[in-house]
Amino acid sequence: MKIFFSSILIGSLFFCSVAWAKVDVVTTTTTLKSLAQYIGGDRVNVISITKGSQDPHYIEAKPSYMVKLRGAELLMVVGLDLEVGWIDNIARGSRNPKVLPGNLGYFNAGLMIHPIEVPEGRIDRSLGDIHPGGNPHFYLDPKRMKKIAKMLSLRLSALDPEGKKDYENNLKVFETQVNKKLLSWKDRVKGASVKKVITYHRTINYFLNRFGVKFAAAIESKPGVPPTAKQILSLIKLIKAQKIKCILVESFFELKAAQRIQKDTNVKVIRVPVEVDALPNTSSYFDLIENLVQAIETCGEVK
Amino acid sequence: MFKYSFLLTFFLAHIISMSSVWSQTTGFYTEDVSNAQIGVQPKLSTSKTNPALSINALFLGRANSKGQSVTSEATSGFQVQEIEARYTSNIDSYFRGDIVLAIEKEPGEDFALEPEEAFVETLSVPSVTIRAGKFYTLFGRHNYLHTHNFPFIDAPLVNERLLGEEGLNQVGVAAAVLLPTSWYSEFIFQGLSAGSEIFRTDSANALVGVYQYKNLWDLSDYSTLEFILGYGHGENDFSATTTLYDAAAIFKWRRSKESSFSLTAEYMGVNQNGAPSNSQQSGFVVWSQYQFNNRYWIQARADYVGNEGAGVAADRKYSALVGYIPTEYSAIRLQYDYLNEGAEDAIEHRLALQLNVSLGTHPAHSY
Repeated sequence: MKIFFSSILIGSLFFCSVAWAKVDVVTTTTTLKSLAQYIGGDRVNVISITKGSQDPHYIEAKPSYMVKLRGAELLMVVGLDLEVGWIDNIARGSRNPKVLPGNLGYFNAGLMIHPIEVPEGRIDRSLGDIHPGGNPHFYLDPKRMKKIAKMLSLRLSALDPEGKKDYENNLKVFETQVNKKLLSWKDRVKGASVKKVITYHRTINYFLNRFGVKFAAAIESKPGVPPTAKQILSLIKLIKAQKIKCILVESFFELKAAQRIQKDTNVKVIRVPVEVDALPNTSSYFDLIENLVQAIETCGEVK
Repeated sequence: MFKYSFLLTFFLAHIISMSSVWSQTTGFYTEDVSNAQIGVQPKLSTSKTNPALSINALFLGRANSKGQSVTSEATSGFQVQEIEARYTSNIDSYFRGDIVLAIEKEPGEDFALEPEEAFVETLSVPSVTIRAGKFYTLFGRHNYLHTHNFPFIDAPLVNERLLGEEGLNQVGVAAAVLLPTSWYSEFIFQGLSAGSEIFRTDSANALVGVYQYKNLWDLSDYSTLEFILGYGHGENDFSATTTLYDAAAIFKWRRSKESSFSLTAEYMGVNQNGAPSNSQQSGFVVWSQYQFNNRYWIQARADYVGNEGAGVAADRKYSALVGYIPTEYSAIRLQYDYLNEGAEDAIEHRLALQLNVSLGTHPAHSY
């Protein structure tokens, strides 16, 4: 009898101590990581391959990334060729068949949204490092991120059916927060009355589109190609003619060209984060968008 | 009746395809269903299932102090160093294929097309990648690289002298195991058929074993340290055994896409037992690469190859390179070499200007 009770006791202790195993999620960027943390909550462990300060397009296929991905159950990529130079090598090198394209463990966010700036007609590399599937920086549009969040909740539920309720609840919380914040962000951007901005690369166009600010021009002459002296002169002319108040330089691009333009105009140069953890105070997705909204407000204060 | 049953079937099929139970339990279909719901229809056309094709072309202008000798390794004048076409694709969900065809012209010969690599790799086996076909042997830091990926315009002297002009490239099977350690640790077993300069030239019934053990640690967010050990053995033309050994250490630092630095040191040796002369050779190479802005690289290399078995003086080579790399698709590189071939007691100065371009698919950023 004693043995019976003690075995029940030991058994129940054992049962209590075994919490559910967490779902290991690896993302290519810190922004996707933040989303996975909102939707996955306590049920997931998330790591990002790149740091917020790194341009996810120019990453080398470092073997230590393969080790990060080796035991993962889900790999989340931005897609639309953003990680084209390295993610396939990393995924194959991890020797983890679960996270290869075509499997439940591969989540390609770019396939789930309507992209903008999809090049039409025949394209070639003389147009710069152009993405044939469209602009890959959709994660700066909170509305499109809601769509990704929904798909992620479904995917996590498929991988971890016991957590379905949790994922659905987390999704609801995320959606509610986006809806609430979108309203105030829209009001604030409207209040700033900024019509047009210049950016270094076409990184924040989804954000600008969502909040009704026009993209006037990029500093780089073509995607991935630094500006020429002629390009800088034409930007100076454009700023003067169209009374553009500011240049938003994304965190992983150089400031020199923008500062050169600033010398000849009254334009304000503002450093903006485009990934979570790219700059201080951008530790979550909402902080990231908040920072961009603040940048537009700062721009609006320029006389 | 027929009409109604058709409608009913259609209706049921529609219900099934739209059902959320379906999309949640078989995650495989979640993307398709919801993409259809938001209007993103997958466009399937045959061109999308074609293998990815990339072509690399290397053009050279050379000048060397020995002049226009056709037998010299670096004939002065303009030349096509190599044109390489690479086709790669997943074959199905189990295998991936890679075919590299090279068009090259040896001095005094016509252009020739040859399969440089043609192999199949497994995709669905956990922890190990098995490769079968013809491929560059995974041995040391440099042997497996294609010409357009060489850190310098030419291969290190130790690779050329010890492994032959074309390097080790044989037909066989490789298994690359990712060991369950917290850092990157990989062991590669290779069983290859002979048929090269250092093993039996006749490949029939002769098997060569080559093993590589590679470890890589992250020293910081921006730097890594890598160690490679290699060993190979197999029968040679003198009815005895050739053994190969290699040790390499690589330090890499990369702060951003605008600044990076690497230092590589490699030691390699070969023992051709039974050979009448020059049966023992070993050498080392040290090279460094420094990228000081978005587009410019400077590099330096020192080569040393000893000829213990032959009893002659060692070969030495010192190289310096400046690279201008405007985009991921093109590079212009200028290299100077000082070559002292001890055995021939001759000093040679070489200058080479290379245009390295890539057409087609986005190139992979190898590490």
